[in-house]
Amino acid sequence: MIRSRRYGMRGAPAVALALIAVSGAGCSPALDDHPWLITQPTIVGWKADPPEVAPGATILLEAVVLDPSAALDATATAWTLCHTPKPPSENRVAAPACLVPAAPPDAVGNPASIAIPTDACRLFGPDVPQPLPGQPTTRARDADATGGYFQPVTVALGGALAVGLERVTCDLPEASLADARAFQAAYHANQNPALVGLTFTARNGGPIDPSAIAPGTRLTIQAAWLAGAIEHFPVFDRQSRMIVDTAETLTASWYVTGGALDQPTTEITDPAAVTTETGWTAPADIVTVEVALVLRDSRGGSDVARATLVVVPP
Amino acid sequence: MCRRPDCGRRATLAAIASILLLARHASADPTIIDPARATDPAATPTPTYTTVVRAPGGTPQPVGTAVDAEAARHLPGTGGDPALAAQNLPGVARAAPGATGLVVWGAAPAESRVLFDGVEIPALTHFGGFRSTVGAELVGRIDVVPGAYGAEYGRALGGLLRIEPRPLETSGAHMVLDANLLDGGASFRGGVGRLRVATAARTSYLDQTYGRALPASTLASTSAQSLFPIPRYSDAQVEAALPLGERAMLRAFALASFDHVRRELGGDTADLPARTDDQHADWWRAAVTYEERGDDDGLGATLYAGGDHTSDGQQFGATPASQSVASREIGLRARYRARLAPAWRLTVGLDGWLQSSDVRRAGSLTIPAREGDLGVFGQPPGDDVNADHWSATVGDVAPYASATFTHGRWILTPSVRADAFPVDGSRALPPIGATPVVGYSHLDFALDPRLSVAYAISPALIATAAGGVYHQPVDAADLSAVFGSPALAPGRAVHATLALWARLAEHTTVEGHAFYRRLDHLAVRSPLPTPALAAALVSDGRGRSAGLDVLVRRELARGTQGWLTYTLARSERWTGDGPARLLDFDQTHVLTAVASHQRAAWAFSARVRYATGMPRTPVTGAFTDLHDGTTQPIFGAQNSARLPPFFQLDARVDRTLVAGPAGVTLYLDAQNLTGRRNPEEIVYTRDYTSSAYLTGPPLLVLLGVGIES
Repeated sequence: MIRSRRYGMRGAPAVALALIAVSGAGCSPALDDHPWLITQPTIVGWKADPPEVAPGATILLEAVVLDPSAALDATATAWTLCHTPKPPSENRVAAPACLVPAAPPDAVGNPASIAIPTDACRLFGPDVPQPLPGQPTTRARDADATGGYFQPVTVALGGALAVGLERVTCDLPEASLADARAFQAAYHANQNPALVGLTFTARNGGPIDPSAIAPGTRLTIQAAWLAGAIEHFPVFDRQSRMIVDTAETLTASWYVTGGALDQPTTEITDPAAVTTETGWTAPADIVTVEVALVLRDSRGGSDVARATLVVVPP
Repeated sequence: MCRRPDCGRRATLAAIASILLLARHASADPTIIDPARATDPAATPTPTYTTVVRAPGGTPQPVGTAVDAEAARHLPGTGGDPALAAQNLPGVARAAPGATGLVVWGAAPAESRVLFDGVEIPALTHFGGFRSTVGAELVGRIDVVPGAYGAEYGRALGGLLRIEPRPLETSGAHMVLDANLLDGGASFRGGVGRLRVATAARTSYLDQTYGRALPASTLASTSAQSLFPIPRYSDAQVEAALPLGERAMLRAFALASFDHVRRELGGDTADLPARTDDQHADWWRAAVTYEERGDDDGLGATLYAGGDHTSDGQQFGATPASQSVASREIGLRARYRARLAPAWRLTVGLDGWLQSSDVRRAGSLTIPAREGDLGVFGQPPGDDVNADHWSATVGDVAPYASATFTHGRWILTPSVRADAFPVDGSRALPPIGATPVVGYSHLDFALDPRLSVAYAISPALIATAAGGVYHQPVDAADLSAVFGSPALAPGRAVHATLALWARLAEHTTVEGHAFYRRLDHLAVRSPLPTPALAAALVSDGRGRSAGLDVLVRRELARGTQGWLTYTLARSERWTGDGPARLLDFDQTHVLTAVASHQRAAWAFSARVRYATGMPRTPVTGAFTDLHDGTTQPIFGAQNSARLPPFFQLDARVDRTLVAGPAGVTLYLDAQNLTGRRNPEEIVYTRDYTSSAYLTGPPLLVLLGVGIES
């Protein structure tokens, strides 16, 4: 350590000026971060029909698997209901115990039917059991920003693992009786958005044959859905302690097994919108490319559209 | 009167021990604040430099290390900010990038306290860690007490960082204007008659300098500023002193600090939902101190008040998270010190503090993050949200007493502190329907005995053992019935240390401490899948840290001086009977070497730092969250991996020129001369298939000129 002695500094200012020079390039790493490019078997989405049910109801589940190797048999998809609530401190979507495929699963197949447990609102919702004598009352679970409670379902196929959430209709115990009644009167269970399909056009607007695309070709992929996909629903706002009317947000997520996407994810808040699109550039290799669009609403509903693009020699 | 033959030697040894334990600390008298200045009064324009690493300032403590601020300004890597030199002292781990606190003897930053002239301030540094919150010109010395301190101090489970104000000159006026690419500031020292004042202010414009030069990121979803957000900060200080006769002094100070930083990830131009993090931290403190400066110090009292306002607003796609805390506090520190007998000195005092807070919080339970949270850099919080608005008053009324007995080679200092922690809150249970709001209040008592024993084995070898019990009151922000728990108890720690001081040669000394700290009743997140009502946080956290530190010091001789510190530590935490894990800030080895050489008008100094990388939780796999399409990690054992080690070489050259009555100092301060890209964090691709290290800047050069007259 160096000490500089000051001396005789009376009445006059001292001025220090400094320059900083930073050498070298950036400090952030170079990572090829393209989660929309599927290079190994991946479960990219699911469709639960219906997307919101009361406990005890049976739902039909269908997983969307993109498999560049085409080696997996989708009918071997295993479905397992999660029965372990996650601690409130857990950031992930399910408890660690539910992040491993269970044996035997609750259902196998794609699609597959599965019954939501009757105690789903107690395990994953706001219902708290009557405390045993001498035991404290337990904490009700927190809803998500849309007021939803969800039953986790583990989905496994080959080495691919995913967790889906089925929205469960539960009571609103935190609100006053009047608010709870008003909520029940206004609330309608969520419905899945309904995709119409995918269309492909050249960048100049002309038609293009998806089964014969030249390497490097840039084209536009458009998805369309039926009007009314953005639903309104009431939410009990925990800050204002009031019920507020809320509109869903749609999120369109694109996935491909080859090529490059311009805009992999788009948020749609305009209730009049019924389409979204992205640009795609064909790879230089002669390959078959799988394309999938997963359209999700913010309450957990979804729909999926798929297509196959074939890159052929020019 | 002692008439035994060994009385003289014993008296000498006792005096040496007393020097170590009682007298080697700063006085408010500016003539002895810096021994080098006191012993070299010649007002010659020829510059001289002296390394000063000394025993603690303020009230003496069994262990600790102090640095003279004037010397610390010229330490490589501090950028002229003396308080930052605390990071180079023994027992102090390397601060995490951007951290505003210190990790001392394995304690988390929130468990240690930063004191300015005995009054706690919320943070050592501004956001980003570039600057301390107290202006450089008002700092007299920095004193790190890593543990085992006396009963005068409490409300902390870890260590103390004491910033002593620079004594005000008894005459004349002095002004400094400072401008560099980080910030600009001004300070004035002067007065009228016997009233002496000092004032300083500083504001940053880092966003207009470093921010413009920041390189673009190559990570597709982020910008470099999102990884290194540019903070805005400013601070101001006023200090005054008025002698009251020959033996008393009235002093006052006011401090204010303002911080803001905003981080953005994703957004319209990226394929991610917008993520923003907007943080403010503003605070002020004001204090009036009356102190007698008699032979045995006599009476001293400080009345202080303060206010804090912190806010943290985050947005993860559609999921918001926010917390706002507005606090007001008052406090009183008073003590009376007297010598009751030639070998018996008694101190009695009162340390009182009361803080009232109004807190609003909404969003995920895991925002803001806590030490021990399982996650990786950039991972969004869970989707579960809630909200609460509560107020809480937390206090501490702590009378204490300390006695010092000197007997031959022994110095015995028992002390005891009796804390009463009142807690009063607005809401005992979460809001449910139209249920009436019911408040709560409780009073926790704690008795903290402490003891230090020093024994002078020889004039060149002194051993000290010290330890005690310590308590820290609950944080008002943890008292939410929704996000925390109104029933939290004060945290508790037991410190034990054994210290040795030895003079190896005429100019070389060595000091070492072995330490052990055990903690319990720490506020931690409930590990239960279904916690009890109003018990998201529980007082079930436990921990321990152990290790040793060594300081080898060469005092100034033939123009060369320096020191080397090494700290070996291991700090673990666990909840209830759960498995132990490493503290998030644990660093096994921390080595710092500083050397300087002065030759005529030139001065050269260098610093080398090595530190074990901090623990991280490995990602062993990933799964798709079909709810929103993101990929989420599967973790290995918590904190079972580490970042690679940190190594940095810094150097500084000062050249002083004389131009009439003025002195001109040219300096070059270069950090990370080797250009090593030290990993500071692990970043993952969004599918967790690959990762890379976020590294610190490869080379930072500060070139400047100072003009003084």
